[in-house]
Amino acid sequence: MRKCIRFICMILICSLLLAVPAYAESAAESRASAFFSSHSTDLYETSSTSFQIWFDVVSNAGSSPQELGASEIALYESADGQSWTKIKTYTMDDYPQMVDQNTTYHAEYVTYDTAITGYYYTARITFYAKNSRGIGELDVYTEIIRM
Amino acid sequence: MREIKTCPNQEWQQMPTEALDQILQAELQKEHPNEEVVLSILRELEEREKDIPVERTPEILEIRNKLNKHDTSSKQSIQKRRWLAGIAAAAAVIILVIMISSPTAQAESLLDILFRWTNSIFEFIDPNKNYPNTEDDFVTDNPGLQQLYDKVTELGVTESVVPMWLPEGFELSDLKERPIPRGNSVHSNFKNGDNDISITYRISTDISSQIEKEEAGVELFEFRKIGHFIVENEGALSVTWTVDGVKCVINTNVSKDDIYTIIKSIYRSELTQ
Repeated sequence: MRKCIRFICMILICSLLLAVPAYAESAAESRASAFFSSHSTDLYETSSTSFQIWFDVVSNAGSSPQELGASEIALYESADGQSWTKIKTYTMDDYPQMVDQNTTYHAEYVTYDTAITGYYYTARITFYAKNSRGIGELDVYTEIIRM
Repeated sequence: MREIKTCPNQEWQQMPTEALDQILQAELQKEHPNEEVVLSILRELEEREKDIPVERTPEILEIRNKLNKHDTSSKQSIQKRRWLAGIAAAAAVIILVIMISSPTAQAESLLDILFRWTNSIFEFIDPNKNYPNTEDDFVTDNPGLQQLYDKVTELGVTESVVPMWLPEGFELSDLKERPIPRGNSVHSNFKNGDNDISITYRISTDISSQIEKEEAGVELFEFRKIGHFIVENEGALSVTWTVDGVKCVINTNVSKDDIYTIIKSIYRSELTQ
């Protein structure tokens, strides 16, 4: 009987140990946002030296955004896919089409047309929403593409 | 022979010891002795020998020793089985606890989505249940949904993706179609005071969308064999599912019960609450 209790205790301990990383993982991935509900990003090649940095974003229900879109897009380049350099920044001040007014959805893209064949590219898109309660921003990285 | 099996002891008790010895010898000479008969006779003889010891043939003594060993190992085996049953029960309890404390998606995948539960409800689901099938007709009282349906159909979507029902009072406030890489997106927003229901379709084979969520797990609501994933996000709920290359997302701050009805209405089912 003692052995049995010991074995059950061992199973319980193992279950708890296994449960902790699963919880930690879900906690690390969690990123609720009062401003945004869903978004997509893509680097879309249009030729051997150019691509579109594309995004779309949907506001969260009840957030009633006055402005919605991306406030900044930072483009990164790498020769080896390991070491990255920021080569260009697009802001909503320079590219007003990155943000739309009084909407719950915005889709837009900016173009980069001096890409180097064989180099890697990725972009950090800062989603942006503004309503009567304040401003919300969210950084999301695109996939990595090789030209 | 059947009577001996069902009530052997009474028969043996009335027989003389010599007769029992003979039956035992005869049974043991068979190619496949009846264990039950042998065992019951030996027990009867053992009872009698408590008072008057009797000499036994070496053959019977050997069998008795074997049976005694068998009895001991049987007891050990029973103890082992009880121990294993205890472990199995404990494991079942642990799995049940994990299932209850985990997102429903895990629980449902374990049992092939035969049921689901939330904090407030538990219900069985029959994804193959027959509902009135009017799949050729898109019928809705909400003119905004009709506009959304027309827009999505225009873009070549033939699968059922547009709900035919929304809670009362929701009116279309935003409807957009945008080109996206390798496809199009259609977004609509329905408003009723501070409440929103946004429905977004990304019609593209190569677009991955991210849905914002809280720490709470993902609930899988399977209906018509399509998995609809429900997540919570700062007072709102998002439902996402994919049909034939169309990524669908509904985001809203209406109740979860309304969400279920909206989902069911996509498949022309249970249009009334």
